[in-house]
Amino acid sequence: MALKILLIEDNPDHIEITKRILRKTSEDYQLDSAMDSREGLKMIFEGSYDAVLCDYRLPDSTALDVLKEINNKNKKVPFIVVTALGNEKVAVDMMKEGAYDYIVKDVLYSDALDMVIKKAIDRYRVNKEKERLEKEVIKAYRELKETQGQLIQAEKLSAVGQLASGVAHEVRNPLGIILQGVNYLEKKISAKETDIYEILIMLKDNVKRADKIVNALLDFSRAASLDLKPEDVNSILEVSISLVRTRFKFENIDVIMETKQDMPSALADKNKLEQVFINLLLNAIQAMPAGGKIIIRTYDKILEEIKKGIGRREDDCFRVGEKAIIIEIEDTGSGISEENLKKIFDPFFTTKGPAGGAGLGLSVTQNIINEHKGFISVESQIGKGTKLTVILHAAEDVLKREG
Amino acid sequence: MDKKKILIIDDEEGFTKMVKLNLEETGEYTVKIENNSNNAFMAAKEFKPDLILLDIMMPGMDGGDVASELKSDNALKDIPVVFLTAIVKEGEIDGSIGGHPFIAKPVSAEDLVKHIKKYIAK
Repeated sequence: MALKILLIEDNPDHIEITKRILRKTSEDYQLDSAMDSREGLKMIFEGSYDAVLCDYRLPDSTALDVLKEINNKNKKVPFIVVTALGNEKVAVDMMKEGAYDYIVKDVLYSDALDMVIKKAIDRYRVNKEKERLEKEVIKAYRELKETQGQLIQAEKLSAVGQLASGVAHEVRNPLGIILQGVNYLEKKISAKETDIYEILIMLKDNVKRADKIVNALLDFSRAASLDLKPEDVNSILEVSISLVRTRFKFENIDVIMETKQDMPSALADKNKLEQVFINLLLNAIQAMPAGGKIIIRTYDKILEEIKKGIGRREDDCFRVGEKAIIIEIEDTGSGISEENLKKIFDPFFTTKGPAGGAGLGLSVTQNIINEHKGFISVESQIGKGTKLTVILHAAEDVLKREG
Repeated sequence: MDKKKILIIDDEEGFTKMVKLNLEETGEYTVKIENNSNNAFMAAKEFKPDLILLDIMMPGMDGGDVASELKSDNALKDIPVVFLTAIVKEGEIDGSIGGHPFIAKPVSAEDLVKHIKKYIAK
């Protein structure tokens, strides 16, 4: 294929000379020309040239102005400056601006032109490839970091899971003994021994309390098998909101609903999803101690952009072209610092202090969404608020895929 | 009325002792304890219980192994086996493990009797 070259030059003789020189080379060159910078720039932006030769002195400006305009528009093209004899200093300055090479209009012009053009094109191609590879390396590094993060998270959860099962077994057995013992003593004491009776009641209550803690730990560590059915996320949201409605009033929080009507069904476990929404709503409430707004949005969307978890591979959570059900819960609260954002889904991470909770809410939430093979992400700005986005599969897509 | 015979197989000695005290206190049951799961089969053969309470996580043979062994014997295969477990909570897996009902620990004496009555009646 011919190499397309643009020559910006106001001297017709020089254009003719350049044409002849290039015709004599073994390369198939196609030379277009422009007489001034205005015409030249128009041709550069509208056409696709393999290289641009530009005389330094033009009737309406200089090659430096042309180059600056190209850079401003972020157009990439190998740019070679043609200078009159003795203007090499200018040419070197231009190279600092991003010109690929320079060539002097002297006796060597005809011998050097072919080589200079080819060298500039080669350098341009190498640079382009280098940029592409650099981008790929950065992308691969980012993906690696993300995978590493996920692995650490999975490992943590697996460790917590094993710990929870161990704790359940080791704590519930002694609880069983205490409870049976208390039950036996209850029958053995006489009705007038009220003090002892009270102590036994207290023991029983505390057995229940310890058992509840173990249950919570187990719930956290393993997402019990999901009961996935086509569900209307708007209805599930309504139930979740009704359960925390009194808190909204008490904490002076306005709820703004921007839900889409006639949403396609999501494939979801109703009870688990309810738990997710309640967790997210409670977190939003806690982020606004002085009141504020919670905006709840739902919509569906065909996924088009390839990004983390969305692609064409077998192991991607979502495929390009698939329909996603999206739920956003946004607050106008204090926001979360960048450092804390990284840890927000970690088990036992909390900023609420000892009275605020165990730091399992968002971790449980993420576990549940992962079990749905969905996505949860967070965006936050200090002083402005936080938005949590949950992406679920549309039931029709999954059912179609699974036949 | 004849007392019903309950065999409890569990390595937790404290637990088996308390269960025996509570069940026998009702006057309706005779309870035999076996804390070593490896001896469970022989204990069942000798005692001929009306119901077996069987722990799942035990050193040596676990509850699942013991249940299979009991099922393989013609004289024992129809005795109702109820698992006792500290690993699941009540209602978590539809009340059945490998076809046998289960009782989640910790369980009160009152609830235990209710469960036993229900499963013996079946």
